Amino acid sequence: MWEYEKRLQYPINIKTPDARAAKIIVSQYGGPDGELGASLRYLSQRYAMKNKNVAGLLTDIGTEELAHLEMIGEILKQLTKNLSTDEIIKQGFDTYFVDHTVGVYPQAASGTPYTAAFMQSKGDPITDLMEDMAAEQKARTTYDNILKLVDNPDVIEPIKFLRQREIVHFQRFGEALEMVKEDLDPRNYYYYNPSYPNGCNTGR
Amino acid sequence: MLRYEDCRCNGDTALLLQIQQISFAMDELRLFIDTHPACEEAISLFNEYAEQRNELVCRYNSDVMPISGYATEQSGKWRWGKAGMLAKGGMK
Repeated sequence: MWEYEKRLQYPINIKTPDARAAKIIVSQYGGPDGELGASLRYLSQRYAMKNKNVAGLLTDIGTEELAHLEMIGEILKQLTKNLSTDEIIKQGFDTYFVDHTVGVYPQAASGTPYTAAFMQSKGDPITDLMEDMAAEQKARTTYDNILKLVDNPDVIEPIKFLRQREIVHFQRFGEALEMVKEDLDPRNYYYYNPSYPNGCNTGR
Repeated sequence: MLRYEDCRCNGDTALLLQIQQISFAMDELRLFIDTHPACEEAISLFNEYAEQRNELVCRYNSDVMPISGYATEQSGKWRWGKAGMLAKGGMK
């Protein structure tokens, strides 16, 4: 289970609303490499993870991703606070506004709603950890792109914090992959699925 | 880098910032310990921070408002509705 603490992982205090920035940053809420997908990916994958330390890591990173989802939600809320309809139109937020007003909705910046098709839980620890490392890199690139597109320091600071976390998670997943590989035959480069032992996994 | 002394805010927010900082140090150590379970230095640092954090959270729970999920009864008051989300500029 989870215990909720009534605080953010990193403080967010945006003094100037900017709906144009919100339209971009929403991608890290419900986009293809966003925080919702990240948390669901890790929290789902941990059931197939035989190595208990690595299952613990997936739980802990999945939990931290939920805190990041909350940070992105808070950024979106503050960026769209007290805007007039004219400002919403001028800042290009009208296409989002028509469907969600200024409510926070998990979608990509392009408008695609969140779908679990953005992520995978393959039931194979090696495959899953390789996906996780790629996912952290993809999220890091998205934050790099966001940093190229926004200029408000109140937004840049928490985004830089989140970008840095992707790098730390990538490192931890890399170490986890080595731990899982050590449980297997180290001479066998083509690792079989350690969570579904079935001979060499080439058939029934 | 966010610095405690840069926070020109009231005592409640400063205490919250301290909680955020020490919790983050623990968030980072928690992941490190997951992949370095034999690192005694990291574990003892984690435990040291846990003790300090516990004191700060208890103080916040009793002096400001219940921040922990299980802290509501401790104060005997229901102040969650008034306080809202703790980020400055957050939900009112």
